[in-house]
Amino acid sequence: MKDRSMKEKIMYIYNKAGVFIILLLMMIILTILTNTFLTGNNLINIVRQVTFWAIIGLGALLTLIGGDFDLSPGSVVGLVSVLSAMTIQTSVGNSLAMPILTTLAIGAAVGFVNGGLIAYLRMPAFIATLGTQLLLRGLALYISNGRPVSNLDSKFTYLGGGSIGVIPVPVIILVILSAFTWYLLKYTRLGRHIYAIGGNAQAAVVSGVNVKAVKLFTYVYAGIMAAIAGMLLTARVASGQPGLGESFEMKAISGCVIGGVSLSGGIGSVYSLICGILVIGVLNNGMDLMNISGYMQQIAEGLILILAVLLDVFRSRASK
Amino acid sequence: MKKKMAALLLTCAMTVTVLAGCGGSGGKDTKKETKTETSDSSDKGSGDKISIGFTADYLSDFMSYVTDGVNDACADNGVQVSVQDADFDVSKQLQQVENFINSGVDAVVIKPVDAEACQPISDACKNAGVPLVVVNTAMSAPCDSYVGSDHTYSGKLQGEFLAEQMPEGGKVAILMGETTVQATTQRTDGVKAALEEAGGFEVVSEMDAGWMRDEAMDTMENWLNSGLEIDAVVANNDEMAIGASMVLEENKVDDVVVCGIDASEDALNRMKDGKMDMTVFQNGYQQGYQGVETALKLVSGESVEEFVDVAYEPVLPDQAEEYLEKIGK
Repeated sequence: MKDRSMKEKIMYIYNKAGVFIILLLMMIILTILTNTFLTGNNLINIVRQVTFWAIIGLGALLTLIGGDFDLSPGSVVGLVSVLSAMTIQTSVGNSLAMPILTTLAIGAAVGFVNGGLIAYLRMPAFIATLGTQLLLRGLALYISNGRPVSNLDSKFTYLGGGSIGVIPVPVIILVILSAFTWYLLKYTRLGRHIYAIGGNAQAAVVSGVNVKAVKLFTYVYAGIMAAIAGMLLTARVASGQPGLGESFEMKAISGCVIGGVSLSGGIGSVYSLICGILVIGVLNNGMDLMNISGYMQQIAEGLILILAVLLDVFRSRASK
Repeated sequence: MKKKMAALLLTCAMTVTVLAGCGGSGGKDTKKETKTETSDSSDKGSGDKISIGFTADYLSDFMSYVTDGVNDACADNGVQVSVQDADFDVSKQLQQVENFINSGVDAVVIKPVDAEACQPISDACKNAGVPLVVVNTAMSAPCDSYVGSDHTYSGKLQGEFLAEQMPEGGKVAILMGETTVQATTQRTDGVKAALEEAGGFEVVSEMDAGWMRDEAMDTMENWLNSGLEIDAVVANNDEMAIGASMVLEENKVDDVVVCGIDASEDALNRMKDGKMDMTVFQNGYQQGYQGVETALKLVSGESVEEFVDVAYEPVLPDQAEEYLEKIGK
């Protein structure tokens, strides 16, 4: 330890204890500063508020670990919002099957397009997904004529606003999806391949990994997660809104990065994503509770993101 | 090296998504264009038909009413119109205006993307001798006429309503739209001015909920949890007011007064059900319609007012039905 630089020491602690310490510190500070933070109601609120970002984050996590990223999820949310609202309105007996199928189909289709452009046509992910982001938002506005689609059946809105016991339904869905993603990454061959293509794509090719197919899968997964988040959020606000989800992809990616997922691929876990997203959620909630102005909140969030990216850059350098 | 690039790219990505995050809606314009081109048949016998170019900052929700007004006014007067969407892009809007001028329109009508960045548009029209009418949002550069509603007045209407409802005053929380937008600051200022005049009111919190229902829900939940005492929530638009009222309903809080602005369909329906207390109607359709009529007056050489006021109208629950019909048209 002695001959290490300060920077390396910080990195060592950050990697070992992770973002969890930061989260805990924030919670302790907020508990001392306010007497309303540490209440059951408020904690449930925080979790519900970050749920939609976290579900998108599960997809962002896979694309980041695979060494790329995806800018389209926010617009997927908008398109799914409009179309799932329209399908529940026209669905016979208000059955949930149609909106759910529509949602999954949109998510998968967008993922195929993104993944196809990036993995098979070798487009830079940044440009390809920026393109789909614009295209999908435009489509959502065009289909809805820019207006909200309202009067949704209560069976549908229950998915976003209902609770089982004290736990909101979207949170339960997040837990299930997180467990699935965690298992996928940790215990399946596919999961190991995702880490492999992000860590060192050439080595992955040499060792027989189908890099293109694996990359395509990460985008399809990201598309489906964004679509699910979109449907749940639509149910939560009880209205199909073409503008919904704007810049959500940034919340998701920020959450990943703050949690310690590497922007250069190969490193990350569901645990780091959830911690990172919770840091953002606790920060927003805490500042609202302390009645800090909206201007300051943006500044704080920006600073934390820059700090997290800096840490990631240092870590990449240290590991060389 | 590759990793540094990745970090750099992400930074770029963030900037670009912030700038471009809103997508476009191209196809709609052309549809409307052809509709109006074929829908005339009227007199105006004097050879060439008058044509007008209209560019909106962004064709969504509210602007669709303005655009309907523009299209109807043009159809009623047998005028050819081209409707463009500037997609929140200042330079794109300038290009569209230049294209209008080059294609020989008789007048230009715009809803500015940025009220402070319209000098080039103003210059281009002036140099070409084409009348320029601005609708909905006043701009700093000179124009021939501004047809719109005074945002400060809409906030004032909300404040006056609260003063009437709560003569003894109370604690007010404000849900603001994006804080970079003129409408946000003006509406908020209007509320505060009216409350101050009435006396006894205190603004206990002002939060940015970005015009969005979901963000307003989060903010309202946090307010409730923070134990902040609130007697009334004033929102800069209906979507945020709806979000706040939904959370209040979920938490069975029914003694908080909620006011919005827009008189949107959802808000009016909630008012009918007694879940929201007041909204303000901004007559977007009339803004568009009168914008075109003002432009036509300029084309035929008549003099026009510098500011044509399309007044905001307060809407109370018992008028909800009436306004639902009005916006349904």
